[in-house]
Amino acid sequence: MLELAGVGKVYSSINGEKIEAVDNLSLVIVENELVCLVGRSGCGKTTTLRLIAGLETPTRGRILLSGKKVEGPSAERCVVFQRYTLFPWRSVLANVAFGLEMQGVSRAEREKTALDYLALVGLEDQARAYPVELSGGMQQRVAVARALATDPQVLLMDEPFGALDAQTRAVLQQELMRIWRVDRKTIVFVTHDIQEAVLLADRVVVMQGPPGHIREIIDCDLPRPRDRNSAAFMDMSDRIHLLLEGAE
Amino acid sequence: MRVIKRIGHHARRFVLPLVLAALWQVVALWLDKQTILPRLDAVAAVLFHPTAKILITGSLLENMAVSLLRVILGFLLAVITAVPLGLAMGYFKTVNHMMDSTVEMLRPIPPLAWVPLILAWMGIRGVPDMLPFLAASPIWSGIQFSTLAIIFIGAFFPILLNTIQGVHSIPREYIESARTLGAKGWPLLVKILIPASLPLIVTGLRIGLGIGWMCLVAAEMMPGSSSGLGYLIWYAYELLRADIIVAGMVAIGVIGFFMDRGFRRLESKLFWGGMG
Ligand SMILES: Nc1ncnc2c1ncn2[C@@H]1O[C@H](COP(=O)(O)OP(=O)(O)OP(=O)(O)O)[C@@H](O)[C@H]1O
Ligand SMILES: [Mg+2]
Repeated sequence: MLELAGVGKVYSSINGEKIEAVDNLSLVIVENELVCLVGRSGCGKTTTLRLIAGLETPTRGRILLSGKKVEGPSAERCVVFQRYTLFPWRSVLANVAFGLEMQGVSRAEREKTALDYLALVGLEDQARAYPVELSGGMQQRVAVARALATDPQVLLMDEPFGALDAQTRAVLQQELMRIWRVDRKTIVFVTHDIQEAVLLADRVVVMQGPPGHIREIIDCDLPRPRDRNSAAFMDMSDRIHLLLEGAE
Repeated sequence: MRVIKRIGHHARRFVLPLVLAALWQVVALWLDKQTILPRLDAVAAVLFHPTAKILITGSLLENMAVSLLRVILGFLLAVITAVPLGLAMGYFKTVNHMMDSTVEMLRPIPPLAWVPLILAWMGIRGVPDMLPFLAASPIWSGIQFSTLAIIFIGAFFPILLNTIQGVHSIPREYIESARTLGAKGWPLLVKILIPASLPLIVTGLRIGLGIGWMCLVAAEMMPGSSSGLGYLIWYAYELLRADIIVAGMVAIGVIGFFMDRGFRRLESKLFWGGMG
């Protein structure tokens, strides 16, 4: 269980100004749940994710994972970013094996595991390739494989498909759903694409800000696999859309 | 047709040097003053007998070897200090804060301005004073600490600044991804920080080696120096042997050119297309 209790974050900007990015945010995410954070640009989604990752320290409140206070980044909470995800000087296989390498797993063993995860994202043939040789969509798949390979408790994704074209994005969304069925993880997924949120999430957290706080949490209980063209899907999307407009 | 075009393409590069050489030779023949403008065949005679003893110094080759050894040693000293310091200054804001103003104050001082002070500190002591068994070697016996210090100062700052820049140019996603994959401390440094900043570090090494090489003549003019290309040039000047001066200059230029080429090769291999 991931628990955010009264979390606040104030940044100090370069010219000494205080910027309140997140304020009094409380949220409980249960195991194996996929939660999407949506909201307009600058409302504090990335900040929230970085706080959970331990890449930022909250200025108020606390964050607990399985009852343990989150302090600094760790392999329990792995992040997939939108850009610059893969290490360009490492082969695809060495990228996926990186987390295990940090844990001191032997070379043979970590490469075997890495290959398994590459197979999971359908890229075992690219193991020896280098990131520049892959398309953007392939790179993000490798990034997902790399994050899963260390078997984190929580997978944090910050607009991971945001830089991809619509078609590739749709394919990767389906892929993520397939992977999530096989290797079920707690996922916190940031997006500003409402449709994406409705397609993926168990719950959609609609944020508002800055300073970022929760406007509403929507249970997204549509049966899976979800059909973008179904009436229920569109209703849900419209509802979130209205909430976001009201949040202005 | 393609072949001719390619030959033409390469030939173009040699037109200007050949014209300049021809002009030089014509003026030299017309002037007929070897001490001011040596004929090219006299220069070539020195260059093409690299193992022949020149005046009372060693051969051209020996002098090249001493110079190269000096520059490489001074350069290596700069590498092992500037790269770690640059990584620390690039990564830790506090280290940068502590060192920054000092570096910026020392950096504009030309290496040559250090000569008197360095001589006062180090005199003409050399490597054989520390490692006596090297005193017999004609090359090692000529390595003075003061010479190394000048080259070190010349090479240090470009390496330092490029290393800092290299760390700053790392997209923060690389470091943050690595940390959320469990990397910290030494592995983070060796597996992420260094490879990610390596392209710019290598640029720094190339520039540093180039500047170190340029400091050579000055460094070899210092008292106690009795070998090396810089020394050779000054010694030839005292004897009014312009042919040897020019040959020495050519040797410095050619070696410098190939060192730069080597590093450029390495650099182009290290820029993983489109990164940073
Ligand atoms: N390092 C920082 N220093 C100062 N202010 C920051 C910093 N990072 C974010 N902010 C501010 O905090 C607020 C929230 O930013 P955040 O990046 O979390 O928004 P976001 O919801 O992820 O936006 P987007 O959808 O554009 O990615 C913004 O007002 C932003 O300007
Ligand atoms: Mg963001």
